[in-house]
Amino acid sequence: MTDSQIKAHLYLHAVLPQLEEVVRVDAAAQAVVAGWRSSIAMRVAGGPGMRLEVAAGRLRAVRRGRGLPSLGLLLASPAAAVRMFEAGGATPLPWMGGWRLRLVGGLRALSARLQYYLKADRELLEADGAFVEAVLIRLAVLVYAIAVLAECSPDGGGSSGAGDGVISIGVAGANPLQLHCAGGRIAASRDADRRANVTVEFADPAAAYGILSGNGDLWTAIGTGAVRLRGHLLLLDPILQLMSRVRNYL
Amino acid sequence: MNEQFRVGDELFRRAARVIPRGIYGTRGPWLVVPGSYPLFAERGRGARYRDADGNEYIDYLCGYGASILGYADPGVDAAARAADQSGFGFNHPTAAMVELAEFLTARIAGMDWALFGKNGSDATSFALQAARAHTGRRTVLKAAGAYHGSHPWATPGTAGLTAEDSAHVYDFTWNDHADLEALVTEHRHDLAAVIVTPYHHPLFDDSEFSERRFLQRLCELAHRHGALVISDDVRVGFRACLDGSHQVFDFAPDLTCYSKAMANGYPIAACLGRKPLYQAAGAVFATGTFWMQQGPMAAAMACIRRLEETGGVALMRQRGTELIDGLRQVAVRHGEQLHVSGLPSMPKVRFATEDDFLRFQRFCAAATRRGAYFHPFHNWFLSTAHSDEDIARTIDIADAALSEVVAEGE
Repeated sequence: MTDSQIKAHLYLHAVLPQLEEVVRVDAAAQAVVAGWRSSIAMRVAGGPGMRLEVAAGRLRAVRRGRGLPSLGLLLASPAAAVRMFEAGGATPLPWMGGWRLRLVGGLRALSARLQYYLKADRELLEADGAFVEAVLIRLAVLVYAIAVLAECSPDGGGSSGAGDGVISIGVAGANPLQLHCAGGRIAASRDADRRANVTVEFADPAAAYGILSGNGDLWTAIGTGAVRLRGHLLLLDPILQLMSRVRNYL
Repeated sequence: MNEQFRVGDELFRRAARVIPRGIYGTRGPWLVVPGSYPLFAERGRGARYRDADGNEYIDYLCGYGASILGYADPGVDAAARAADQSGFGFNHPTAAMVELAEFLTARIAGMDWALFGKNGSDATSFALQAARAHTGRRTVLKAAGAYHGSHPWATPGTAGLTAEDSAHVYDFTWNDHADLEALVTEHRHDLAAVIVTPYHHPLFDDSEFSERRFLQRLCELAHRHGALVISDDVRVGFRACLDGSHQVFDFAPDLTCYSKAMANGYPIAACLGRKPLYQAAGAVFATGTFWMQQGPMAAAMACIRRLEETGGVALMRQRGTELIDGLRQVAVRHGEQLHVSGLPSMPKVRFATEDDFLRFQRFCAAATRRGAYFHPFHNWFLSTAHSDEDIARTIDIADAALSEVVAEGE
């Protein structure tokens, strides 16, 4: 895969799904989707697709949905998708429901809220009382991105050599996310519903923020107890390799 | 911050500012449980050492196997000091190198020459080159999960490597006769060597002895196709017996590698080989500024002599057996079962009821906080310095540690 193809996968399958959490925790995003019973499909020509299903004030991101979407958007290429996500420099072509201006505008507003949680600096987030939520959303992007990178790598990102198991990644006091490794494939899950074989736990949101923002060193954080590893560490090896590669793309 | 490790933690923070990862490699905190384990040592004697905070541990890692007589053994230290007193770092080797080569070739079964380095990786990499030089072939086979050092062809790491670094190195499954045979057959025209440990002792996984004459079959196959067998005796060496672990495990390597315990912690490694490989070994360019330092060579001779005089191998086996028996009883009292594999003097221990170490890690951490250093993933090591009193105290500590784990529940 080219860098653009990998990035397109990451934006659609690791970043966009975090709208689920944004809608759950953010009042402005909730106001946007209030009353919606709609689906928005986004597809990249020659690349990935993603569908956002919204109903009863909740948003769900799925790779495949049933039936025609309320709004269908097409990005001309992976490079165009990257331009759109990184600089708003490309506009998707509506192939379905382009007349539904409320959805088009709503999607734009949701994207802005997602950008806020992903990009706003710590001072602003703390002033807004959104620091913890932003850290958890950024952590979710990382966890999903690990799975996406494994999917985009010819060898599963080395995951096939580490064996099967469940890896839990989270911040103390908050629900962790999980990576399910089986048969050389890795899937990310927001529901920590399986017994983890290995856990990675940040001691607090500040510790996670330090690593996620690139200002802290993971290995130092492990040594100081800011990050706690438990369980079958061998399973973590390919995950940490993939984690270090995420920063090459996002 | 755990007050028990306050000084060590502060050292680590300082280290992390100027040393990548603070502590790199296997001694880094990621392999243990930061907050329950010391990160810096200060001093040691016998089977015990103190960390930077002054906490004392009965040590069951023994410097990853190097401390076979216990820390600061007076005889070994005196030999090393005496040798180095006349200076070191000369333009030339000293007589100590010749004496050590004579000493080892007289003891290690089937080996006719010796060459020295500093770490196990020096020895295994040299052996590999010597095998390639002798056979004129490239391919090397090793058991999946086996550790043969940190050099690029063997390292379990991935960063900074290219695919070419481990080109011509292929893995077979330990004790899988069919897999080995298929791999040897596939590479028979280019097979330089098969490198094996005397028994399989991978990190994380259980140790496994050779089954159904696996090692003998391995030698037979390799030799039939003109390839050599390298015994990586770096970890097991001098713990199974003093004349080469291949004697105990009954196989016939062409090259053997030692380090770790051979000088009770002084930096030295050795590759020994059979006479027909003498020319090829000499043709390999092998050098290092510190490789011929006499102190560690004198220490090696003193260490092995001491093991001979004291019946060290049997003593470590006995102490290891006592430890494991005691731990098994403690485990049973708490409704737990231990799974133990490998030699009693370097047992690989885990709870039989789990394979992800989650509870075993807590147990090892609780024991270490109380003063018995148990590594959660690596095989443990006994030394000849472990006394009955040390073992008894360790079992008491294990009892308390397991009580804590049981009380905490899942």
